[in-house]
Amino acid sequence: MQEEQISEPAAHAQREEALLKLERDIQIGRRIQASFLPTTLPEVPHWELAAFFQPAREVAGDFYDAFMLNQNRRVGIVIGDVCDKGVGAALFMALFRSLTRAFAQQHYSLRWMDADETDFLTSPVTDRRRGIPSTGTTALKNAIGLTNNYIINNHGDTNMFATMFFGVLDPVAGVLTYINGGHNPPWLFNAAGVKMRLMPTGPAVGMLPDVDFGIQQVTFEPGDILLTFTDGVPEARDPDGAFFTEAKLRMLINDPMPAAAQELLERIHGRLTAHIGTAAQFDDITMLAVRRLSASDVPDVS
Amino acid sequence: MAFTSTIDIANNVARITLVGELDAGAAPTFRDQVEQAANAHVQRLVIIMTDLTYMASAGLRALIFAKQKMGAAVDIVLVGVQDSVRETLEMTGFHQSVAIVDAYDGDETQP
Repeated sequence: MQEEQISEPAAHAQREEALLKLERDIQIGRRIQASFLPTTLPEVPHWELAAFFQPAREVAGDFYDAFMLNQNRRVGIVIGDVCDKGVGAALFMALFRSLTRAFAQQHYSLRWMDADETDFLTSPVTDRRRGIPSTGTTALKNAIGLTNNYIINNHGDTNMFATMFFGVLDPVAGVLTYINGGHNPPWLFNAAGVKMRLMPTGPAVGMLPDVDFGIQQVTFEPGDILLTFTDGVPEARDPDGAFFTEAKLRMLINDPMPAAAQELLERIHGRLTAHIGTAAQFDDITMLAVRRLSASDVPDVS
Repeated sequence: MAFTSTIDIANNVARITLVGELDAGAAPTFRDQVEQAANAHVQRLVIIMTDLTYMASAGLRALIFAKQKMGAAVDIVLVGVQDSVRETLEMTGFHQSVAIVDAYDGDETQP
């Protein structure tokens, strides 16, 4: 056979070349994937946004996003974790991220949304409070509901899903309207403690067909910080295989209260790095923090 | 702990016992056994999780595959789910798609 005529060094060289080609392709994939993350976070007066992203491999299934909506009157804030690992998760990360951003930025009303508005008008007042149709609700519903159906209708046979937290912030009122699709509950906290955990309002996105994702709201007081994170944080392992744990994460977020969102992320990163030590990083680690500045941060603001 | 997955098919019931950590590396083994169960056209898939200490998202993906592969007519019963695994199932909403029981004695009418 022809292959038998190839000398051992030549076969070795061929394998080397194939590996190099693969490595180049992966590096290209890594660069393209990086372009699916925001290069800079929006600068919002009286607010601070900070992000941390550290993939476990060359390409990641985690993502985060932050972008302006409604003619700069709202800020979309997203953190997500696509199931499984490797190139498959990375391809779906690009899809989930693009769909949520594109659907959120569509402002026209969709027919299936009209049913919701009718419900609002005819429903008892007690129910209305839960589903206040403030600006941003349509963006949220579109982003998560349409993405969920798109993934199931077009890629259902892959069983891919993503846990995802999507919030729409009204920076003037300090109100965050959100959907939590099966994602690790973020903490809203201040120096006194955790004010609220933003629990799931529906299942992971892409998991179940025709889900009605619930919408919730939370209000930031000056100085409050929202920490969103992926499971790579509590599930980071030390060399003996022990998890970092949510309990440990909870202990360090406001003790002492960080003066900035960036400081909080650096603190957690430092503790995580110490915990992981010489162990291999198993999962992508991603965090996105949002802080409402206090009067001491901006002396010119009452 | 090293992952093991064993399957036993009898009386139209497939019983898969998962031990250790169901992560991205372990998921393909579990998935193969789900295919075996589907090919045997069983009426019920019982997954024993008493000694399953951790389930990554890849493991959850394999469970969704099981739900899809077995079809709507086949019950999936998760048995002896540990707290950390239950938290993952509940947080992501997958617990709505399966039955979760503390123990399974082989009674066809259960749960």
